[in-house]
Amino acid sequence: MSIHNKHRRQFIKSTGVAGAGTLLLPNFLSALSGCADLSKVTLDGRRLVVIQLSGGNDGLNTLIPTGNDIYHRSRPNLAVADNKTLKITDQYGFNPSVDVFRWLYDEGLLSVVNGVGYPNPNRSHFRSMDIWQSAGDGNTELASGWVGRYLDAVCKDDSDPYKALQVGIKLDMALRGELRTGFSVVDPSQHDAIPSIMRDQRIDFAYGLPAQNPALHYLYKSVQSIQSSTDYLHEISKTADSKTSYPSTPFSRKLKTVSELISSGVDTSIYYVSHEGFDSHANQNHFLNWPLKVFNEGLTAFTKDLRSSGALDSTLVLVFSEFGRRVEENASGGTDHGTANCVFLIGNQLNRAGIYNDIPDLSDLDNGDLKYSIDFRQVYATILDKWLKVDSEVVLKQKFENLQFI
Amino acid sequence: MQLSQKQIQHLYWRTGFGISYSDCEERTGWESVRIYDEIWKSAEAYAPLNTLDIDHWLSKPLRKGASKEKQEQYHGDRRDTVKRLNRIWFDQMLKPQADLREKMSLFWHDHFACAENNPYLAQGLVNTIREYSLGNFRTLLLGVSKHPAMIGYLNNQQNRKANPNENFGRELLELFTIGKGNYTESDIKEAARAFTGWQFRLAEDWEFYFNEEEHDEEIKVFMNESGPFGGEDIINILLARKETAEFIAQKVYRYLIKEEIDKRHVSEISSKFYDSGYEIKALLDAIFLSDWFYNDEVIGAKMKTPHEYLIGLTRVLNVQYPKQYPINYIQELLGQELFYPPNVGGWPKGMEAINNFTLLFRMKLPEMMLEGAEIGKRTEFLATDDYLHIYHRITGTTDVTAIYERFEGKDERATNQELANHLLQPGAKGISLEPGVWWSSRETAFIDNLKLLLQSPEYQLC
Repeated sequence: MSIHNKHRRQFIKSTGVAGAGTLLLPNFLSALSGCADLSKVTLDGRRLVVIQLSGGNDGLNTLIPTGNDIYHRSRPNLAVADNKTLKITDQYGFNPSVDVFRWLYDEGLLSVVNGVGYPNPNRSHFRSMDIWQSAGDGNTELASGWVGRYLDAVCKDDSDPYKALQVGIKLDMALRGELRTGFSVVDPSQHDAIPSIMRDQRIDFAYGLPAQNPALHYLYKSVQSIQSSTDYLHEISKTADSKTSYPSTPFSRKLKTVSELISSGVDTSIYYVSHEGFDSHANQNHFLNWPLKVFNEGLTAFTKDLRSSGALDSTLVLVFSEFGRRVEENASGGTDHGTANCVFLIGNQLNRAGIYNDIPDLSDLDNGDLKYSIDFRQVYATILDKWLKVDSEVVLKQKFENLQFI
Repeated sequence: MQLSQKQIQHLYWRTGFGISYSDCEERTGWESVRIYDEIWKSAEAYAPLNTLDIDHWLSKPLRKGASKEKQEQYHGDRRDTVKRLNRIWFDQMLKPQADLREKMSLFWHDHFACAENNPYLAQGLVNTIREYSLGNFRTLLLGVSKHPAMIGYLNNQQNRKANPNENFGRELLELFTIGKGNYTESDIKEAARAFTGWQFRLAEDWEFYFNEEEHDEEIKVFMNESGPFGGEDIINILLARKETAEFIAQKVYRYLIKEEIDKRHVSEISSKFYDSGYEIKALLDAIFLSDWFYNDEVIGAKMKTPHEYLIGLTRVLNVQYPKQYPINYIQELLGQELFYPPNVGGWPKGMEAINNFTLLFRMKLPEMMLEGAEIGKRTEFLATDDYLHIYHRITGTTDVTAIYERFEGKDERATNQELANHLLQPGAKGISLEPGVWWSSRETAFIDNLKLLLQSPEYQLC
């Protein structure tokens, strides 16, 4: 029996949810076989939090190559003056809007991997985000997402969709596997507001499974799964107790929910949070500072919270964006869609904290763009193999060389 | 063949977005062919969508070096115009007489997925699609392939003799025509070469033109044929392959019939499509005039697309939205904001479109819309939901008096049963339709039952 099922039975016992649930779904909860395959690996309650910066965050304006003439020449209006950066080494400083990175860097909790991209880069947001979420590349189209395929690999059935949980409205393609789909939740505490039909005794969701109509069968099963998952998340999140105060932005509220779910012991391996607004073709100094500021405040509260609760020991945070921006600023005081970018890894189990590798050579560009040196799927593969302890080749459909950040 | 109530509803759900109770009653006992002909006749007329200030976007591109305020204004205006275009199309879909055309236009809008921020191009492409959505597939494909929005989206503007860009060639083969497994990587490269020079006049008149200087005139070897092919030759070779007809027929089958393929039926409709020279009407006739179309395992077996769901619901509840109604927001929550497909493959389809969020939202929407509803008057709703974090952005009015009055004089049990027959194509086996004992009036009982049926899993199917 998996640790998880045992855990859940205890939970059912202690909260009495099984009693309420049996009215609607007899034998359903107890019949779960769950993600039993996980028992074969030693996950040790580890989890991954993915923070997706949607729109193309300008990596060169986040980790700044100080003293680099090409950088300053290419961006007469946008470059951050060397003495304004939060200097960390002779070569690099962080944008002053993201002082959380400087703090994490000083504490040895941050690893910045530079020059991350993929072959045959695509500069469309849609396509590039699709590539990062599916873990395909410019030549290969995959119809499913890599987090969803993680579920496919570790779960025997769809009974535990919240193993991969997106916090926020909508469910990104990343969480849609070939067989299983993750779960999304905004605020588990507002459980009473779920549609009245979910509690309506006039529909018998358990006995009505109409096998002769596959689509209807799928819907009945989905409702059962939503009922049990929302009940579970709601009940267990009641025990959450976070002492950290978070800003009131939607992004921070999402991170607060993640923290609460982690601290209450929810059995979720991958959390997915999206933060929008990074598409800054024009007036970047004006536009980009706001989403970065929101990001900075949220991440500050979140990492301090996880650290003080001790959850950082078992949590790895990955921050990525679908592409960087071009090296040269455009005529509108912004930057256009670029290619290679930096990704950030946060945790206290890092093998190599700090600047993992140098940013790509600004004098050796591919048509005005940074050349990538690390395939983003190497980052995924490293996390899957070393942190989540699942065979990355199964999830990514190819073998990628692991990196050494963990 | 004379059609029953359920069969009439079936035909209207699959050719469009359902039929009202009274229109259905009117047609009871009609021959299937008579109804089908009527559906075609009302779909024949085509009128382009037209946002009023569209020429503005043609004549006034943003000047380089424009001020900060001008740029913000410009980008904001473009977004607003595409949203307005979306509302205009949505309003068009709400008119029952145009169902079949809009139904197939939605199919092609997904098939030829393209995200375009320039309202002039977005409107042009959607009108090209709507104009040819029931015509000949070759004409439609050619119209889309030459459209500046698609040329821009799939980078054919950058597809040049000296440095071919394969993006368009790849999607043409993989997504638009013959489908995966029926071509090689080399076919993609050769197709890309053939389409070099297919460009549009950027920031001038935004029209297609053939740039001879950038066109590769050398011999290409494509699908075992060789010649100095141009783009149209590639399209002709692709259409000559039966696999292309099969690929399209199968996708249309899954859109109109159900997700699990019946190979015999697909091969039957694909042959007729191919033999007709890719007439879309021949394909649709093969489906809707077949005897298997009315089989029990077809009726009520298909997941409603977001728009089948939303248009159906809007009509049943007689919803009127305010002028600036953010229809985009509801579409987004349902998982299909028109004009903004998530990727080149279009929106998630069938069961893929259903995840815990979209299903909860579908089950919540009728509840929110019927909050406080009364018989005999139009009622305002202001949708809020703490669980899904929806606050006041979905507003409008409903009026269910007309449908209530259809059941005048019937007792509660019969009313519930007949309403279920009207609303739930898969039947209502798992739902108790027994009269409640606690309702203060027949009217509240009616509204409560209506809410139950519209929230049910069965209502998600057609």
